[in-house]
Amino acid sequence: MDTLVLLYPSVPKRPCLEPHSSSSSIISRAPPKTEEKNMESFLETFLGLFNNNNDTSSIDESLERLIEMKTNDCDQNQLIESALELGSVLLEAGKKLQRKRFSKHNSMAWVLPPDLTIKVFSLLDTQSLCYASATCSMFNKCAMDPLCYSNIDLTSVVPKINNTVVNTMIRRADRKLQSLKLGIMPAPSPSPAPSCPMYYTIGNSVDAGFSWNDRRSRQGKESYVLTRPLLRRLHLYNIDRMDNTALCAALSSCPSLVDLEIVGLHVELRQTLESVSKNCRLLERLFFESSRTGRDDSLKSPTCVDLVNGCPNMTSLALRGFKLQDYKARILLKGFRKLKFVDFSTSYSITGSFLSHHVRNLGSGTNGHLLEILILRDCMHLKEVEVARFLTAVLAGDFKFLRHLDISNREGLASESDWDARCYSPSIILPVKRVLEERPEITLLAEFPPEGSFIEMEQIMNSELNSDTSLPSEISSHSSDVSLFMSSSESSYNSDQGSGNEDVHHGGFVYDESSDEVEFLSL
Amino acid sequence: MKDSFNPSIEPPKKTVTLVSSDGYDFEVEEEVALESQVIKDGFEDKAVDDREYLLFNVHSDTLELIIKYCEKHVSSRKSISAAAASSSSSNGEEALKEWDEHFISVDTNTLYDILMAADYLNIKSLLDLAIQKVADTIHGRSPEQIRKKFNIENDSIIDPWASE
Repeated sequence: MDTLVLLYPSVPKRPCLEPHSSSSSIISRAPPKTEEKNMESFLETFLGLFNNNNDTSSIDESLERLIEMKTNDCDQNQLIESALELGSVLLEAGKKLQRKRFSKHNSMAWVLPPDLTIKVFSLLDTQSLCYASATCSMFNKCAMDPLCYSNIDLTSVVPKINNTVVNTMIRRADRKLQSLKLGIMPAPSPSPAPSCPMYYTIGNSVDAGFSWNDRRSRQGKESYVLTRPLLRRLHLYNIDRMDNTALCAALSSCPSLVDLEIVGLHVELRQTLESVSKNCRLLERLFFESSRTGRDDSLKSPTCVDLVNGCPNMTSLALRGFKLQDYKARILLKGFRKLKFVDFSTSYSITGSFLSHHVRNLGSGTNGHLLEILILRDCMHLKEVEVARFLTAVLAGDFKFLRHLDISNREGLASESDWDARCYSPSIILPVKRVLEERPEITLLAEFPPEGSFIEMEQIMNSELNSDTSLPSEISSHSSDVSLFMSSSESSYNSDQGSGNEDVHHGGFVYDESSDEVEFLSL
Repeated sequence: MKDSFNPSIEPPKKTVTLVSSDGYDFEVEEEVALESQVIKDGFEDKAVDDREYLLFNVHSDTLELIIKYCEKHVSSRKSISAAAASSSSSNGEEALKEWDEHFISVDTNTLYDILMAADYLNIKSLLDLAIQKVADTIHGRSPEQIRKKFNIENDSIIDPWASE
C-alpha cells in the first residue's frame, strides 16, 4: 500500500469513517482519506472485472481502443507507460499483501515462540538449517541466531560451498561457534574410525576447494575467520588449497580445540603436529590422515615429545598413512597417559615393536593400561612376531581395558626375518586362540587375504570392487591405497619407500609444493 | 505402582493437585509433580494443604500426557537405581528411551502442545525430547516439504544468502 499512498500524497481526512474492517486493517498507518476512498471503490470495481470473468481479452481491446483515440504519439506512449506502471504497482501491492497474510498465517500455524524455534534450529545440521531458513521469513529470522551456528558442518554440501558461505556462517555463529567441519567427504564415514578413501569422488575438486591462500594473502583475514576462542571441534577434509601456513594460522587461533580431524590436506605431519602441540593444549582427539600415503616421513622424535607434552589430555589418536617408525610410535603411546583409542592404520615402517617395548618398559605401570582400542590395519611392515609378543603380554594381564584389536592386513603380516614372506592366517600367530578364549571381551579382527593372492595383481584389483562388502562395516580398509601400492614395483617394499603413484590415482590432481601458492593466487 | 502391592507398610503418598486450563483437577504424587522445575521452585514455601497449582496454559488433554510422562520417568528412575544398587544388569535406560520415542511420536499439534507445556512447566528432559522431535521432523526436508509438513506459506522475498 505504500506505493499507492505515495501516488496521492496530500489529501484531507475524510469526515466520516465507515466501519470497513478489511480495508482498515490493511491501511493501518493512516486513516483512509477521501480520495483514497474513491480509489478504493474504483479498485473494487476494477478488480471485480476479474472476479466475474477471467477474460482478459476485453482489457486488451479496451486499452487498444483507448490508445487509438489518442491522436498524439506522445499521449499514446504515456498511456502504455501508465498501463505498465499500474500493472506493476498492482502486482507489487498484491504480492506484498499476500506475504503479509502468509506471515500472519504462519504465526498461527507455527506456535513455537522464537526462543524455542531457535532451540529446534540449533539441533539441525547445517544443510537442514539452510533449508529451514528458506522456508519463510519467520524461520529465516530465527535461523540467523548465533546459537544455530555453533556446529557448522559444510562437508556434505561442498560442491555449492564457497568462502562467502563459510564466512557468512562463521560470522553468524560469532562467538558461539563450537564445531566446524569443512571440505569434501567422499562418503559417510563409519565409526569409530572414520575411514575416508582419499580419492576425489567429486570431479571438479578444484572449484569445490577453498581458497584459503587466496583470501589470506589478499585480505589477511584468515585469523579473523578462524579466531574463535570457543571453537572446540575442527574437521577439515580434502581441501586442496589449505596449506601448512593456512592450517597453522588457523590452529594458532583455536586454543580451545578438543577435537581435530584432518584428512587429505596437503600439509606436513611435522609442521602440523608442532603447531598442534604449541596451540591446542586441550586437545583430546586427533585424527590425521595423510594425503600422500606413505610419503610423508617428516615426523621427528622431538616433535613427538613436544606433542606428548603439549597435549596431555589426548585420549584418541589416529595417524594414518604416514611413515611412523616404531620408536616414534612408542614415544606417543608412552607419553599420552590418557590414551584410549589408537589407530596407526596404513602406517608405513611400523613393525609393531613399539607395542612390546611398551610392555617391557612399563611392566605393570599405569601407562597404556587405559588403552581400549588399537587399530593397526594394513600396516605394511607389521610383523607377525611382534603381534604375537603383544598378545602374550595381553594374556599375561597387560592392557586390562583392551576390548578391540584390529591387525587385519590385505597383504598378511610380515615374518620376523624376511618380510616378503607373509603370514596369512591368524591361527599361525599362536596366542590368538588363547586370547580369544581367555579375554572374551576383546574383539579381535584379523582378516587376511588367502595365501599368495597378493601376487596375483589382477585378482586383487578385481576383488577391490567387492572389498567394502566383504569387510566388516565398522572398519573398512583403505582399499584404494593398498591396491595402489600393490601395483607399484616390488622393490619399493624392500627399500621402504612409498609408492609414487598416488597422484595418478587421485584423478588428475597433482600435488606440487612449489606451485601451490602461485597457482592459487592466479585463480 | 509397585507400592500398591503392599499399601499397609508404605506411608500414604503426599499428593499435589494440578488444575488444567479447562478446569480439570489432576491429583498426582508429589514426586511426579516435582519433575516440573517450576513446581519444584518454591514448593517448600507453599503450605502443605495448599499444594494446588493452576496451570493456565495447559489443557487437560496435554496435562494428562505430561503426567503420564513424569510418572513413567519417576518410576523408571527408581527401578534403574534399584537395579544398579543390586548390580543386576538392566536395560532400563534403553527401555525408557524406547518408551520416550513412542511417547513423542504424536501428531504435530499434540507435539506443539507437549513442547509448550514442557517449556511452561520447565520439564527439561521432556522439552529436549519434544524439541529434538521437531528438529527430526525438519531434518532432511526441502523448504517446500517443510512448508507442507508444518502448514507454512512462503512469505519471504529474499534469498536467505543473497543479502550478505
